[in-house]
Amino acid sequence: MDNKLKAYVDNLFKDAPATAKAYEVKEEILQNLKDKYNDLITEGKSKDEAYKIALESIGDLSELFAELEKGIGHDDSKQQKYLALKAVIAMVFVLAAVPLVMALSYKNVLMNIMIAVILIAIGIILAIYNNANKPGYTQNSSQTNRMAEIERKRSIRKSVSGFLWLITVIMYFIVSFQTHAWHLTWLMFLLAAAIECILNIWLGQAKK
Amino acid sequence: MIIASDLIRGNTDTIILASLMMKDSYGYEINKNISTKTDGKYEFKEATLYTAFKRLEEAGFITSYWGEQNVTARRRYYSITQRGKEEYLKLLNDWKNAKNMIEKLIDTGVMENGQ
Repeated sequence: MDNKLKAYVDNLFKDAPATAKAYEVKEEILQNLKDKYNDLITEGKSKDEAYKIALESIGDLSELFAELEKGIGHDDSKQQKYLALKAVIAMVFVLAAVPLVMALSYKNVLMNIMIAVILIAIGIILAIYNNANKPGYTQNSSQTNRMAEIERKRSIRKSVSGFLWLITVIMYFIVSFQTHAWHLTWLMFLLAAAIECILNIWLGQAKK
Repeated sequence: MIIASDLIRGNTDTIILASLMMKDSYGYEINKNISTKTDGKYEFKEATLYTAFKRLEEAGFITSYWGEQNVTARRRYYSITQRGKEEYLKLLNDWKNAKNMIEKLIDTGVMENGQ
C-alpha cells in the first residue's frame, strides 16, 4: 500500500517546481499519508477505506506549488549569484598574483605592481559588495525590512567609496613619484570619480 | 460547520504557531493534535498545512530541520522562532478583538431569552 500511496503522490507532484524544497515537501506529505493510513488501519478501518481517507486529506496542491515557486524566485537565484561572484573574486585575487610574480622577475616593476594593486582593489570591492549581499535566511518585503535594506546598501556604498579614494590617493603618490609625470597623474582622480559613478549605478542607487 | 471551517482556515497561521509554542513538532503530529482537540471535527488538508509552513518559514516565523531519531520514517520538525512568538501574540490579540466584535454584532440575545 505504501507503493500505491507513493505512486499517487508522485503523480500529484509532477507539476511541482523541480527543486529540492519541493521534493522534500513531497516526502513529508507522503510520510504523513503513510502515518495516517497506518493509524486508520489500527483504528479498524478497511484497507480501501483507509486509502481513500488518506487521499482525501491531501487537498488542492496548486496553492502550495505557487508558494514553492515563489521560494525559488529569489532564494536560489540569489544564492547562485552570490556563489558566482565569490568565484570571480577568487579569480581576481589569483590573477593579481601574476603581475606580482612578474614584478619580482622582470623590469616593469612599477607597472606590474600597479596592475596588482588595481586587481586587489577590485577584488576587495567585490568582496565587500558580495558579503553585504550574502543571501540571508528570510526575505520579507515588509516596510521595516525595506528600510533596513536601503540603510545597508547605503553603508556598503560608503565603505566601497572610501576604499576607492584611499587606493586612488596611494596610487597617485606611488605613480607620481616614480614617473614624475605630475602633469598627467592627476587624471587618476577623474578616473576614480568615473569609477565611483559606475559603482553607484551598479549598487542601484544614485548618490545622495 | 461551514462557518467554523472558514474561520479556522482564516486562522491557519495562528493555529500552527500556537501548536509550536510548547514544543517543536512535525506535520502529522500537529494535525493529529488539532483533530484530537476538535474531537475529530477538523484537521488541515496536507496542502493547507504545507502552504502555511512554507509561508511562515519564508517570513522567518518558523524554522525546520530533519529529525534523526527514526530510521524508517524521516520527519521534518518545525520550530517557532522569537519573531514567530511575537507574531503569535499579535495574532492572538487580533483574534480576541475580532471575537469580541463579532459577538457584539451578531448576538441579539434571542437564544438566552428562549424566544
